[in-house]
Amino acid sequence: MAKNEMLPGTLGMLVLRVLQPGALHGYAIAQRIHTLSNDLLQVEEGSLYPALQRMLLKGWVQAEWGISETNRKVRFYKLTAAGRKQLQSEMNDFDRVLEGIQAVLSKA
Amino acid sequence: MGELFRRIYYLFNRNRLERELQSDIEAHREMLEAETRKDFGNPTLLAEQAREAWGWGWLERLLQDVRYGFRILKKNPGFTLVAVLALGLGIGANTALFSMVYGVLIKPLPYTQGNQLVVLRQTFSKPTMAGMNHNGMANMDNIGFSAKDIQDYRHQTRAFSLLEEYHSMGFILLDGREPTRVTTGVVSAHFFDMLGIKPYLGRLFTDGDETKDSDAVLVLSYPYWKNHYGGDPTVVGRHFRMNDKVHTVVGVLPPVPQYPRENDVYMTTVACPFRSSPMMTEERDHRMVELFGRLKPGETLQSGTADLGLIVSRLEKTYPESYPPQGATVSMESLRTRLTQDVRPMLLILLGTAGLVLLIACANVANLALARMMRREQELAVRAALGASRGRLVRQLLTESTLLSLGGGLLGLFLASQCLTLLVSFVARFTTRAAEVSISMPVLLFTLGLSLLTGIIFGAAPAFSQRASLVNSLKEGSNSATVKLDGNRVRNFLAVGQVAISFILLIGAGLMIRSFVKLQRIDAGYNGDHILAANVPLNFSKYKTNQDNLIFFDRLKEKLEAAPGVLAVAFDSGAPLAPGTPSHQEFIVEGRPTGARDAKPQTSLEVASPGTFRLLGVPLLSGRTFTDQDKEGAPPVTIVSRSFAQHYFPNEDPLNQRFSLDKGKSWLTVVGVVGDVKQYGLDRDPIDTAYLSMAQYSMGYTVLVKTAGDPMNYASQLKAAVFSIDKDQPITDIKTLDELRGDSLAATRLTSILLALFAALALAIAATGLSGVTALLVSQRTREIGIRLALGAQRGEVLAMVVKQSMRVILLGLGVGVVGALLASRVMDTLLFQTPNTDPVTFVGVAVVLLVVALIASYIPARRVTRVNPMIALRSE
Repeated sequence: MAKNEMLPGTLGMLVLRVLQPGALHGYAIAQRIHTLSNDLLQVEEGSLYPALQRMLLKGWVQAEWGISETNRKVRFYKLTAAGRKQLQSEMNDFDRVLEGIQAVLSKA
Repeated sequence: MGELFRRIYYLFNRNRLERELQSDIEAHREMLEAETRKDFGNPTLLAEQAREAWGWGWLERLLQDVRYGFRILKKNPGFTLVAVLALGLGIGANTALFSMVYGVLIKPLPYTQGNQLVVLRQTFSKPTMAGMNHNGMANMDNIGFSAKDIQDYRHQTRAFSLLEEYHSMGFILLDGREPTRVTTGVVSAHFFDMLGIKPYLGRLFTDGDETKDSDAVLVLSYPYWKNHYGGDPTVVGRHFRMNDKVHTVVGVLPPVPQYPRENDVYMTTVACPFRSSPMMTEERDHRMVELFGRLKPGETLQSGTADLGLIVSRLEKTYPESYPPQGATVSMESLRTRLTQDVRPMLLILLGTAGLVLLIACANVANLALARMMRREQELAVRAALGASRGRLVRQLLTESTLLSLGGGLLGLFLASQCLTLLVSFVARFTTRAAEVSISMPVLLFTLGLSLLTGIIFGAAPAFSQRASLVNSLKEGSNSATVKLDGNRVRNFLAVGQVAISFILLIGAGLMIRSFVKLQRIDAGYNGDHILAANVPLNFSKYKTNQDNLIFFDRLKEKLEAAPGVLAVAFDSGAPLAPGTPSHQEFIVEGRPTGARDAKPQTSLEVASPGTFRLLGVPLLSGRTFTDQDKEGAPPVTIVSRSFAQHYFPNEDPLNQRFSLDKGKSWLTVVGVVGDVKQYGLDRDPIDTAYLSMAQYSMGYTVLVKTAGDPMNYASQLKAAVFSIDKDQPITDIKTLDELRGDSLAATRLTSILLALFAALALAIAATGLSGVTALLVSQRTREIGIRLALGAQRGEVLAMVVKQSMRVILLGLGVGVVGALLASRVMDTLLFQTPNTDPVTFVGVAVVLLVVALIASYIPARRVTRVNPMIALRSE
């Protein structure tokens, strides 16, 4: 898998996951995913912001004003209760799919 | 908080949220660049993409298109004005007519389950010699029903929940103020229950109001109550005198349209002196009332007809003497159909006409827009080069055309509301449903839908004609002289269409006008010059015998004749062409025995006084007219019409023949034959008519006064003369015979005027369209013409060349129009009188008019070629 590509449909789950410990701003989200993936995954701004807008509309995250490390007023995205539930169900789904894929890969 | 709700929240706060998103992305970029110096994409584009998630992109683009559209239209006020005006006229005409069609033809009757309401007709098959009307259909008039018929129907029917009778009469109502003649609906007890009407005040009729010893009760119509009693609720319970009896008002109807026609008051059958007479209640043959029914749920017109057919065939067996040998037929139609059938073809034709006018307007505006497109190609090319997709450009152009058509729709709505009152009064001549016409919600929706559709139709041409070769447009100079053949083909096609449709509309109007002129010129059989007519409905409770009537009218005649300027006074049972229908009186001719089962001849009856024929100028063909000697006690005499004489005495002298109207109890001797009079309509064929002497037969009276000056000046004298004899005697319908004749043609006249108006509108729009096409052609060919002139072509030749080219369009349009008109004019058959729908005079005349107008329209702009200066034309590139 090329360095900056992402499995389709998983960006939302990753964003929700990195928001689970606490609120982050947009840049931090991208950074967290990058770091946590051992620099394997690169989140494109062009996908991150539309995904965040969708999640705001869905009510999975909320935006709150805060001050960034660079002393700038930015919005921090915070997981909501609905977001937690969504994350759980997406992770379950993902686990099942992965399980299936691995089963096929190992047995075939 | 649901997703939808949040979406809407985003819509309304999108400016703030956009700024926040922008600042998020900006912060992201700063941090990213501070850390990694990595390249960041276009933040604006990024924000735009992110905003797509909100789902309002389409709305923003639409608003953008609209704003831009407004700017464009504002920059071209001439085009905008012409387009909105043309579309406004077209849409206005359609809106007005659709509101008619909706209110009259489409809207359900405002009664509970109005579709289950039917009108019944009883027709007796007649011997073949009876008249045929001009449509070639056998003269099958509804003869009505008798009380006995109705009784049996009610007992035996399975399909009807209610069968209720109705007839209308005029009575004199005395409420302590001045005596008024009221039109009175005489109905059976459950008539209003059948319609499903609830009282506005008090109560409506019950079974208790229709027994032999019931007190006479009245129900007032809403408008009569409002106009005469100022909406006073205490009117319920008041006592009025009518027909020498006390009538108690028990209720008021709600303000709903009354069917079959508007009445002032309603009474039950037992209160009507005619309907309650033994003759009416006991004799099966006295058929005169109308019958309405409500079908049980689930029953249809077919099952109802079958049900009644069964009953009638049973009755025919039981009472053979009451039915003709060829049999009787009871048919029915839904009340709604019945109320609107007279007006349906005309309304639909007018709506179709309006639709065609709109189509022409569309074609015209499309042409204008196409021409304008040529000038805009550069702008569009620039926009495409800057990244606008083809779809986006098409949407932009469609938005502009829709803006125009919505503007036209607004104007049309305004125009329609302005002329609605006029149209309602026009339609009211044909149907009581006219009162229900208004600009209602469905009409508004229709107008909106029509406007949008119009916008798309005329917008489609320019929007899709724009070529993909935008690069070429960019390369071309602003004064490009390249002839764009594609565009021209579309434009020529549209111009041909306009000419063709104009031709069809002109033919429609032309045929209608021809028929109107023919009707106007028709010889009605009398001379209505300087004659005033008025009804004097004598109060029969006061004037009990015909002798009483005659005394009254003798005194009236004396008084009037003494007045200066009055040339003659006579009486008859109804003025010619006054509203009314002929009667169908059976008779037997002496010496021609007819068995009980044989068909009996029928005639319409009229009453005349001595001098009536002379006053009306009706020619006496043989014998004599009535004299003072033809009075009560003298041998009963009759004068028959020409068609009567031809029908029944074709090979013998009608004079001194005798016939009987009462099955041989008394015999009328024919003493004269007079010319046919178009008594009941100029478009009707002559009706067999027998005239009886006023002194020997009593039947409704109309006063005819021949005057020296303007007859209307004598109206007040006429009234004064009547009041001086009896101050309680109303006098109604004072009109001149010319007015009555004019009124009888009003519908045809108005239809002609409307059709002519539409056709003129169409012609004007098409003419401007042709002008535009030619003007464009000239401007496109300026350079070529310049070369021709430079090479020595004569200006006349060049002019002829251009005109010839537009002639091709005109002639092609004319050809298509002739075919279209031949096909389309068939629908007008029912409206035409003695005018075939292929009337060559109309076709040739219209073609000439159209050709001349079209030639002028294209000649004016074509003349510009003669002013082309070859040098300037050649340099214009």
